[in-house]
Amino acid sequence: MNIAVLIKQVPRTDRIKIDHETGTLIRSGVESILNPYCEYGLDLAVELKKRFADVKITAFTMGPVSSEIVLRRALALGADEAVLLNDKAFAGSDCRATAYTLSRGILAVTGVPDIIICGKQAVDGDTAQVPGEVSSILNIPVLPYVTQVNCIDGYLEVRSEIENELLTLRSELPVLITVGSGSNIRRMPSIDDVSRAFRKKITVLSAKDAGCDSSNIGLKGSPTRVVKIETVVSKGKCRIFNEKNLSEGLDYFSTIIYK
Amino acid sequence: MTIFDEITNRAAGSDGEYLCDESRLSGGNAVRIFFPENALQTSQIVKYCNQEIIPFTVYGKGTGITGGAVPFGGFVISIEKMKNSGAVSFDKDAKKFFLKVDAGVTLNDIKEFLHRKEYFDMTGYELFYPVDPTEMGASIGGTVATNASGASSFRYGPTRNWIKSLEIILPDGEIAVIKRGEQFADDNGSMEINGKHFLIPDIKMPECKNAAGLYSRKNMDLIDIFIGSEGILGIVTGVEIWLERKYPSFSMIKFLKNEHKALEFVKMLKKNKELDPVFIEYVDERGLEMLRKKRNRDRSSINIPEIEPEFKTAVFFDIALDKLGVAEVSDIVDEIEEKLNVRDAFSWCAWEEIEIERIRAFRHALPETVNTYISEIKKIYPEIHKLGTDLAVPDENFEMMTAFYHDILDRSGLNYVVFGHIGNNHLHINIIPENVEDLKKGFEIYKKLAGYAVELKGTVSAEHGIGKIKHRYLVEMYGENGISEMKRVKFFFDPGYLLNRNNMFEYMEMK
Repeated sequence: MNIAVLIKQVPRTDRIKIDHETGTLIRSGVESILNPYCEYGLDLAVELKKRFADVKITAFTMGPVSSEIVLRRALALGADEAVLLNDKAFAGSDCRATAYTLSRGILAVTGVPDIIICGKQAVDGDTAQVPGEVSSILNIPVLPYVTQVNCIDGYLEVRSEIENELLTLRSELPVLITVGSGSNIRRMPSIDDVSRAFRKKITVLSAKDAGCDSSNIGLKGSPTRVVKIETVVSKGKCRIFNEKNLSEGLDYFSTIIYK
Repeated sequence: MTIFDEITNRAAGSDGEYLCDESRLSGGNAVRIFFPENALQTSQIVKYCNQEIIPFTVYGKGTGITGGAVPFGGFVISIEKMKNSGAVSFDKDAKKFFLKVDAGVTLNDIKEFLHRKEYFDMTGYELFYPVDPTEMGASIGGTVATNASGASSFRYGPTRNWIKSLEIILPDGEIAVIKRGEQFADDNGSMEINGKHFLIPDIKMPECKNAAGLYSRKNMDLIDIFIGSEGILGIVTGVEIWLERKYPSFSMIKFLKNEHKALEFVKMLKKNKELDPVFIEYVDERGLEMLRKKRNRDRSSINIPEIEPEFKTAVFFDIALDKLGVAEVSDIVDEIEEKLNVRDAFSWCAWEEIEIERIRAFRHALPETVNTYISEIKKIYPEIHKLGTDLAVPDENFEMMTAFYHDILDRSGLNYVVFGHIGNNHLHINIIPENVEDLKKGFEIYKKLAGYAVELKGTVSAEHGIGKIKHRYLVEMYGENGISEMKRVKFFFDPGYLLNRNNMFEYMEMK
């Protein structure tokens, strides 16, 4: 079974500041990490590798040469191969161009794999668009916000947490899943993992190597225009019941849980 | 105009501020606290104290743990308002970068300053100041006075190695600027300052990391008599520090099945010529068990995966990737494991900053855990406190020292943990008294351990200093003659014995 895990290097969100005038992130001087949702995705892939025979995991990322560090992390945590899509022509990519580039990279290296695993979103841009767009480009179904996976009779069965619902979903392969949560204690690679990860050759693909059409990549291939970024404050209402109106409260409570 | 009008000052309040430090030494008191803003103002206060015969104590940030900053009468001179940093400069002769800072600047300030201004050397490496005594809130002046070190002194050495020059207010109020490499003791041990001569203390320092007593070496540099002098020879107001290239790091924890294996592993790490670790640290079986329990009680307190139960001890080390890459480091470690037959042991590694921090937090969790544990016992027995050793011995005697630790402590039945700077043969034995009887027993054992370290040509204090609470151990180490030698130097600089009284040795014994 071939599994592709799409990963992204992001700035540390606990260190980053926001430029309130432009609404963009001030990235300078802030070190980068593997996007936490991507790491959950990688953990799921490794779990499948442990449970099933002949699983091969390939990690893909698009970015500058410095992104190698997250690919090394992916290799140390259990990926078998790593692919870096690196070309000046990729600069300025929006979600669409990124999804296109990653899809071309996947097709060039492994063809459509059995499972593509993505984090539900990256914590820097938070758009959550790339996984869906990749699935659309490769014409495969997508199962979102997955927390658990299992392979049964050639199907992938997943547990999916969507807002306030828990779903069990099943799909034929190939399929793309997005991962919404995982263990908050990150794994730590051993010296053997490190030795293997740092000896592995990372495949670097240019736009040409990946067979990209130049009109679909970088700024040219990015139709998104950010008009304004603002913080949305959710306004939940809190109702308090006490001994005076307890029965009303219980009624209200039961209407919510049976909704 | 008097110093009272010109220089910020206030009466010492009952709030205890500037009257206590991290040693929690009680009884600190003073008349007034002064906040000079520069060397000149500091000099004016010192001259006034000499004129009026008022003792004075210097206060940095109060992070010391042996009471060096705690005043007993007189004036307190706080250096906290001396907070300027210069620009990073390049010394053409030494081919190194340096930074001039005022004494009140903290290690954290320096770290942030260098990071914020994004200082790089010609080859694109970020610059940093390598002294890291864990307590980054310490003032640079305080770290000079105590020759602060910490884990990374294994590679980089203590504060002494990083001082280019000092601006010092001598105990008579004169301002002196002392640059490294300009004045040395002659073959007879005679040194000159401001036209007057003195002999360096005639003592033999141990051949290991040491923070006990004054510095003394044949043909030593004048600057070294002040560094680590616990403030008894002058007040540091300005410092020029050398900076170092910051290389990417590789951090590792190796878990081993017993202490013997851990000691062997450390020996091999030290023997290897290529690795040159930044530090090598250790946590023993009792320490690791304490951390395991804490992690299992509260997952969020220690953010690490589970440690397999058959592994009892942990060796931590960091490598600066200047000469070696990660693959080469893993090769060397692999070779060591092969030789020691510890391939079955497991390890955790990190090379990304966020993961390195995680390992660091795990390492620092033990002293914090011990302190929390002690504070619980204190609720029942308020007089209880931790007894932490700061002993170090030369390489060849380290195994004897560790054997002695366990022998005496295991027989005593006391609760204790062992952790610390194993690379420097400098373990912190933390005796944890569960009641008053234990505390008494602990003191006796502490004395025996210190005595044995001296017997093994070691030191009674490798980094914390003597301050006001460890006088008798310094006597044990250097004998009465050694103490007299140091007092002679103190008398040369400060005949009235007004500056930082009771640091290093007792005032009343002064002749």
